[in-house]
Amino acid sequence: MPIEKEAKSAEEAIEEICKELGKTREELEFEVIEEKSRGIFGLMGGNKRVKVRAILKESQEDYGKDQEKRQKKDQKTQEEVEERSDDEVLQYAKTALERIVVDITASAQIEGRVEGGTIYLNIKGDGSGLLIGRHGQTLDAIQYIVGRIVGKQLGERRMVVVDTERYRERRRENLAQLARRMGEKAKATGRAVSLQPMTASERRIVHLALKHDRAIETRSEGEGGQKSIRIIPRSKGS
Amino acid sequence: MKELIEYIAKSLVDNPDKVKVTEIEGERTSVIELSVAKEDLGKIIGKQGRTARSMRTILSAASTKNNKRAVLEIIE
Repeated sequence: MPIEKEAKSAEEAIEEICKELGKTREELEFEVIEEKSRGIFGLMGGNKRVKVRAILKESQEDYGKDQEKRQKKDQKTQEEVEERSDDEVLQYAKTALERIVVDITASAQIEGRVEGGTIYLNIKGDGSGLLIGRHGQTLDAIQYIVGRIVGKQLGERRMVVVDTERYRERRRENLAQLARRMGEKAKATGRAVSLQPMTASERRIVHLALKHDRAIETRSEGEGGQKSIRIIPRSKGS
Repeated sequence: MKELIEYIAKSLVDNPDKVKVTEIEGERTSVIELSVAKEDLGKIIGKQGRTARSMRTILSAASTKNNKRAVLEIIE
C-alpha cells in the first residue's frame, strides 16, 4: 500500500507519512517520485514541492493495490491449494533453472534453500561468466523467468534469487563502493551526479549506502524498469 | 535453442498446447518464431516487454554457447 505525500522538502514529506501511518522511518522505504520547482533555477525555495512515495518494507513489491482483495485471494488460495512444503517449492524452482541453464553452460550444478518464503538458488558455474552477462543481465533474466515459472506453477508469486560465483554479493559491494565514491564527488563538486540505469534491487543498495549521509540525497529518476539514481548535494538551506 | 524457448513459453502460458515454435536456420543466424494463443500474448511479452526481453537475453547467452546468433520473433 504505497502512500504518497507532497511537501516542501523530502524530509518534510517523510515525516508526514510517518506520522500518518504511525510508523518509524526504519519500517518504511521512501522514494522521491517527483520534484517541482517553480522558482528560477530553484532559487525560490518557497515554491518547491517534492512528492515522496513510501512503502512498508516487508511488503516491497507491489503489495497489492487493493489490500482487501488480496486478503480475500489469500484465503481462497489457502483453501484451494494445499500448503506446499518448502522442499516441493524448491524442487519446482530447481527444475526450471536446470532446464534453462543446461542450454547456456555445460555443467549445471544447482543448490538451493528456502528462507522466509524466498527461494535462493545458486548455480555452480564454470567460471566463464556466461551465466552472468553484461552487468548481470543474463543472470537477472534467468532469475526473472524462473520466478515467473515458479509463480505460475504455484499460483502465487514467490521471490526467487538466482546467484552464481557470488556475483550478487560482489555486485552489492561494488555498488556500495561506487555509491560512496560518487557521493564524495557530488559533495566535492557541489553538482549532482547521475549513475547508470539500474534494477530496483540495485538502486536499493545505492539508496541504502548513502542513506545516512546528510549532505547528499539520492533520487530515482526515469520511467519503467530501468530507472537511474541521481546523487544530489543538499544545499545548506534545505 | 528452439526447445529452450518452447519450454519457457509453455511454462508461462495458460494454453501450453497452443504454443508453437519454429526455427528457421540460417548460415550464421537462426530465427526462432514463437506463437501462442491470443490471450496468452501478454504473458509472453510481460510488463513493458520484460518477459520477452528476458527470453531474448537467455537466448543470446545460449546461442553464444553454440557459436551462433539467434533472434526471437513473437508472432501475433
